[in-house]
Amino acid sequence: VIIDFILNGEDVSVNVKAIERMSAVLHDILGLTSVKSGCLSGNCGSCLVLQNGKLVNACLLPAFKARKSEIVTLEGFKETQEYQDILSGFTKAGVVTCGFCYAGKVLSAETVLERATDGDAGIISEGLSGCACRCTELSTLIRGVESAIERRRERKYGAER
Amino acid sequence: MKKDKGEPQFIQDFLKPDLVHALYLRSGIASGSVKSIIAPPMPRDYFLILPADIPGDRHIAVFDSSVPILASESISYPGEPIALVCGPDPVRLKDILSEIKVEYAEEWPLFSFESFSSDQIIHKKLVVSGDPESVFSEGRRVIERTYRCGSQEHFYPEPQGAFVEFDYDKLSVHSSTQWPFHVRVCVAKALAIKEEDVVVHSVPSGAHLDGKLWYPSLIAVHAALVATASRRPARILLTRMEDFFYSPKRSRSAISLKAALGEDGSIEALDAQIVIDMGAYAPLAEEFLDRLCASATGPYRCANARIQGYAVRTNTVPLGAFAGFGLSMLFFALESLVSEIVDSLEADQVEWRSAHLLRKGDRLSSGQTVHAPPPFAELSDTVMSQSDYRRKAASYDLLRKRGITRREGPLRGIGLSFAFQGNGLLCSSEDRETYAVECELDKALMLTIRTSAVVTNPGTHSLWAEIASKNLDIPKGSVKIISGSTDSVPNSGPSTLSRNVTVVSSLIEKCVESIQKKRFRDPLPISVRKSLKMPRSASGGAEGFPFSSLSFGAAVVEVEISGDVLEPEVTGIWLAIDGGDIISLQRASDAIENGAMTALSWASRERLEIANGQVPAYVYSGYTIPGTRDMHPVTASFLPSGTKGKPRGIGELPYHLVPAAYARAVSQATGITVDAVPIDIDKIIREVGQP
Repeated sequence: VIIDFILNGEDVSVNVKAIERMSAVLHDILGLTSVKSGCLSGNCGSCLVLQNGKLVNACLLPAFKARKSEIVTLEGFKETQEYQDILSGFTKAGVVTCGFCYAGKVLSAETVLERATDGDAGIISEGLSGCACRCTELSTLIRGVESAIERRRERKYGAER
Repeated sequence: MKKDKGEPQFIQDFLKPDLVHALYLRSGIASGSVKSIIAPPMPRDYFLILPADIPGDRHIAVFDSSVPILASESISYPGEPIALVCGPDPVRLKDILSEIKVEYAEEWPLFSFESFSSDQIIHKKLVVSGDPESVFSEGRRVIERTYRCGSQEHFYPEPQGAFVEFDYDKLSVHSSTQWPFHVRVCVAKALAIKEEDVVVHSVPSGAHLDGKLWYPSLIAVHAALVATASRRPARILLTRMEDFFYSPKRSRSAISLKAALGEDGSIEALDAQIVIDMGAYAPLAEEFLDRLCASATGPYRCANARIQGYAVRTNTVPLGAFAGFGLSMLFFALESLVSEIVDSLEADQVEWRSAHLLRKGDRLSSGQTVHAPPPFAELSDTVMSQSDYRRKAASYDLLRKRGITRREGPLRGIGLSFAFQGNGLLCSSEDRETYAVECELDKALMLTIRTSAVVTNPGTHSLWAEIASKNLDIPKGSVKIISGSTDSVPNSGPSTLSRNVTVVSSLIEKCVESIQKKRFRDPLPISVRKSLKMPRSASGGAEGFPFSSLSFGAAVVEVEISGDVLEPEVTGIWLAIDGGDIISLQRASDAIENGAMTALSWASRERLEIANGQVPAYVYSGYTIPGTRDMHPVTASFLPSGTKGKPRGIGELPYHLVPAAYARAVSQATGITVDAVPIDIDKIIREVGQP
């Protein structure tokens, strides 16, 4: 079937099986290599993307459910100021990843930044819980998000807030 | 649309229009042989690869073992690859796979490792020091117990896989491996081509935890067979589920310890029987036994010891290394026994340990003398004060004695442990190979280090740059590290946690020292290659000096059981580490904290059940690794740098320390004797009542 959707700000149309996993569509067909296929069961977070602003596991998203929606992958998100906030926070905290689930961590962090503007620890740990990974030291990751929150706040409201 | 323009990073990123995929036809039996394979007519461009299609060696050599590339005449575990089904469309491959019929000649499988037959023994070792028999015959007080450790899934980021294509006259192999040169030799031998005609490129492995030591070589050989048969690019990539069920896991163990106590409560003699389940093929069996037998008396003085080690083969998926070679299982057992000894003596856990921990001049069970004084006193003081151990341990003992129940208040416990990490070469025969590092200082005073070592912790690169910078008096930014493909770097051997920090660092140091000596005498650029060959006589095995250096650590873990939640909640983990000079405290802390979480998870929740030679299907969906919701406060401290000498490996220490301290804490909180990890939650329920 033909699936039309908006991908990273551009109209996209692909001819795929309706039940094809969007992780495969994005990675294998459209070449967006930030979207990885990991567990294929929504547990590891390697395939996380934003669909209509919400974090979704692309491996559990059948292609037909992407129709008419807006999807943002790390490739698109990297072009934004919001990404710079997260990159800055991660760098400051010393977050290290092998890269496999980097997109999942960044996009999860972005949804956390939207909700935990005051650095609520519960929201941060809950928001990052969709990434199962033994590479990244978890408390460093949390510090990275806290630092990104700080940076976002400064950028949006100035340092005096 | 924005796309990453860079090179493919991971195996799944290698996408080519003419890519050939391969799926495994896996054995449906645990032991036996294939009588026949009946496949449907193959569509155009689809084909099978059988053992007879392998042009060269039909086995890969791994350490002292030999693993069949495709099993046929002798199947050793359920799910073992017996053929490859290849073609351009993975969905169609699945359909073809489902239509293939295999007829087997089944043999009686061997699943038990604790009660094993003599033909299951892959390696055995007996190490005797002093005269344990006499001590045991003297009628001393004896404490004994058997401790069991379960398996664990590595859960590295990308499942095992390989991509192979022709690059002019070479075969280009992309592999997520800890040992690129092993991949090269295996591929060359299987295809009966020259090693120089195979170029292996390392793909990031993330936190491999020693799960990508040798198995990637097998997958790469399979992908190379597909590429050469089709003359097209080929990729094999296991699904996470396939990887979970069929790739190597952590070994299981049963360690029986029997200690005869002296009048002062010391361990006068130790009798240890160590049985390790290595699953099928047991590629690391000798390495495991060498290390275990060399360390069996742990960080404690014991003049009389009899250590028997057995590495046992079972018809189980291959089992082996997990963040080291088995010492975490030994230290769990030994420290748990020590806690029981101290309880039986009604002594103080800290005082007893302080009195009996190794000192300068003492010997390990291998006979290796401890030359530098182990800093156990400093380590102990650090974790004791940070955790407030003494007060808490005394209070929790009193609470326990007063019979406080879970309904009356939280049950609390705190445990401590000490351990060392044996650094340096793997002792087995593979290390008699020559491993090398090359360094070149150019006219712009840029130093290039070339090594095949695969690094997962960026702190290791920082360490190497620091060594070069100090010796050559150049900025760290002027050090470039190349660890690319096998045609551009020397073979630096297998990359394990401690090896990169110790062996490779030492070779780099020798290179830059040599360059420093030459640089004001010879014109730049100056290139130096230093290699290290383990002479046969120096490879001590379980006797002699298997470790080039030792790192030391201490840990305290505190738990609480309250309300309706019977799973002990960890309220604090404190670790003190002596790993010599620490170049980056942040990276070292990250490594220790991460290791502590994984080690705790092994001891508490990651129950990787193995039944009839495989992980049962239901385990997959319930198996989780720690995430941000499961975090526990971890405090890692390091003895001051600069006074303790060269950097030593520290990455294995959390695995050696945390399980025993956690087990002791649970034991104090509940009154149960913890003799197995992961801890049996049913045992806790029986002891402290239903939720």
